[in-house]
Amino acid sequence: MTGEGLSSIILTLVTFIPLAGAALLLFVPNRERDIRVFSLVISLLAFVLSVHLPVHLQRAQAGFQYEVNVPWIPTPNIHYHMGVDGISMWLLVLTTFLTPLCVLISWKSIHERVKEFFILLLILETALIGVFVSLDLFLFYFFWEATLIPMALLIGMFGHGRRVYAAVKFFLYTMIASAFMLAAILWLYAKTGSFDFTTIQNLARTGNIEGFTLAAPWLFVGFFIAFAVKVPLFPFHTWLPDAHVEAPTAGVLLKMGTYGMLRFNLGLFPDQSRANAGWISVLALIGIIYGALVALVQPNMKKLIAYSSISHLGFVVLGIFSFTPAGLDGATFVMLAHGVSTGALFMLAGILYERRHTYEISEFGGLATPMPVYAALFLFIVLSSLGLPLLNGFIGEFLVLSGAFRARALYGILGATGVIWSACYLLWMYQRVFFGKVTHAVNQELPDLDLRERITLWPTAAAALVMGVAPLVWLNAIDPAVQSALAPFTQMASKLVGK
Amino acid sequence: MLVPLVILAVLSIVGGWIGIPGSMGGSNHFDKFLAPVFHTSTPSLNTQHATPGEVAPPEKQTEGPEPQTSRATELLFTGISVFAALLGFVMAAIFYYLRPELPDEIAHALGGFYHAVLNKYYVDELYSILFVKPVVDGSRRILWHGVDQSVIDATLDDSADGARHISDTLRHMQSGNIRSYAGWVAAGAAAVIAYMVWMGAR
Repeated sequence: MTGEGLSSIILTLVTFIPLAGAALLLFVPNRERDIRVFSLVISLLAFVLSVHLPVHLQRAQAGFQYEVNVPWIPTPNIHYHMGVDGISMWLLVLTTFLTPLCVLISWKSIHERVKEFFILLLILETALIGVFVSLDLFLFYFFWEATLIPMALLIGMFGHGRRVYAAVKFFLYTMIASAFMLAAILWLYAKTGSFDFTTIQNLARTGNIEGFTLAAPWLFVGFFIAFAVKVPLFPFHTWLPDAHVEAPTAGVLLKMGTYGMLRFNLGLFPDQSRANAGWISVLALIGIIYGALVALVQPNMKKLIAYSSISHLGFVVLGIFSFTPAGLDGATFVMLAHGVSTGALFMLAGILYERRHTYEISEFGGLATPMPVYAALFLFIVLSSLGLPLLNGFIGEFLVLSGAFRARALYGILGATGVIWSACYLLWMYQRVFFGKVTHAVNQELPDLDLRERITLWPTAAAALVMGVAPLVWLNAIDPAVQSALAPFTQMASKLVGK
Repeated sequence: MLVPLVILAVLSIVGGWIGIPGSMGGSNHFDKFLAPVFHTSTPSLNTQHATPGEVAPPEKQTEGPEPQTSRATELLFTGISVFAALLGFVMAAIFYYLRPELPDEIAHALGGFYHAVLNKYYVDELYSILFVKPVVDGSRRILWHGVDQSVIDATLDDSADGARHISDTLRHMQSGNIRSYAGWVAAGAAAVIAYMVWMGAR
């Protein structure tokens, strides 16, 4: 029975435990070790609680679960409305899974303003989870913008080199784009008197919003721009390499964009999604190929990973706008797989940075000799990221490509080249960093992974493997959500045929 | 190096049995590995919303029937590959164990051809000139430095700088000088009146 009781408050708990932890952290004495341990405990607690969600999810049932819906502010009509389906639930678990690892990996690399760092990290976690669970557009927008503040501060305070430039760039880019979404949300509120996602969705589907057909193209673009910048979709991507090089930890941030497209662009504007799918898919394909080609020539390891994210997230967008079950299942799976693999790649790059204070690939070479365990784990993650069968990257990309192929054969073919490119840039990078003779004497004595670093990396490697061999655990929950997201599209198709 | 080789040799004996052909009483355990992934995403679309000419055709069609190869074909291919492996084994034994001087003699006899083979017919070099270099240079010069930095990023940086410069210029209007404010108000009023008079005169 406690299970049921917990189910009604679980989302609130998981969302706000990190924030509460951040608040408590203010009162923890300023001893670095205590702060780190406390943050770890809090983030682990959030993770353990979030595991409740997939365990007790009614998999056969479509629609939102664990819902909470209470009035928050009477005028304007804002509700505290939260709930998850199979898609957002896994993104939530991804967030809570990665945060403790972020805490662990920053254990030593952060030694100035330690308390500020962990407070910001925990606030960021709350905001990210909030984005995935909000079903009230105002609440969603609140969390959406709330991620900006800790993220910009993290980049600006704990980045390296041009960190303030990167922070301001990140902030301006995403803030300006979000303004379009706010305008769209306010229009919807003005016409419907509600911020509630399901209410607006029902009104829109039954054609009960005045002037909706005229405004829908603009509303679609308003939402889309905010998400496209966050994804980031070509040509809105140039904040990412700067921000990610400077950010000490980069996690789930990008999935906010693709999640938004899936939930709001497809959910509220199916007709417009259909109408705009052409150029969006082209942008996604440009992102896949262009991102990979630019990643190929990056001299900086972290920039390379950042550009590879642009390429991988292109797959997600391509899958979403294929409007096929395989495409959407795959898109969601790529989001999760990319979160795990790229998160791990960033941690691995960070480990090297801690030792050598540089990300330049040319500064390394032959690292497999002094750091064999590190090299083996790095290779494992590289293989998972480039989509080796039996590891997590493969499943998602394969599903996306089969979906894209069905939507339009050319998309599938062009997208498939992205898989080849990702093998090129990742394996070439790996070769230059790890193989051959040790080229810089200073690298000769680099220590291999210590226990803390192994504990941080093993879960990501394990997740990459388990997701690769047992993808159904994830897809069983994702698929019903995808089917209900696609319901209006199949109806549209039958309408077209029925004429 | 010996120990890892021994481990691999032992494992290769075990590994070979997993995919043993049907003609020898085995079956392929891996070819249906991904099938359940697709089964999750098909049924409801195909059965519930199925309509003629639907955008997404049933995914099952892509699978097709399991390819059936005859016993004879399977045995033939098995035989060929075993023969190829044995041939390699025998040649290696001759060249490196029984008659170690033979490889050098052959190399001499072949001359230039030997070098072409040694360098894999220079395919790597050709490939590098034809594909690798253009892709890497093109990505660096055109896509990264050209498009990414000089076009997209420069546009954004310039627009951010532009906003700052315009504000920097405009802020000088806020001088705190009352007479200058009065002057601007008078000038603005004059402009409005002039506009109205001109519009009225038309």
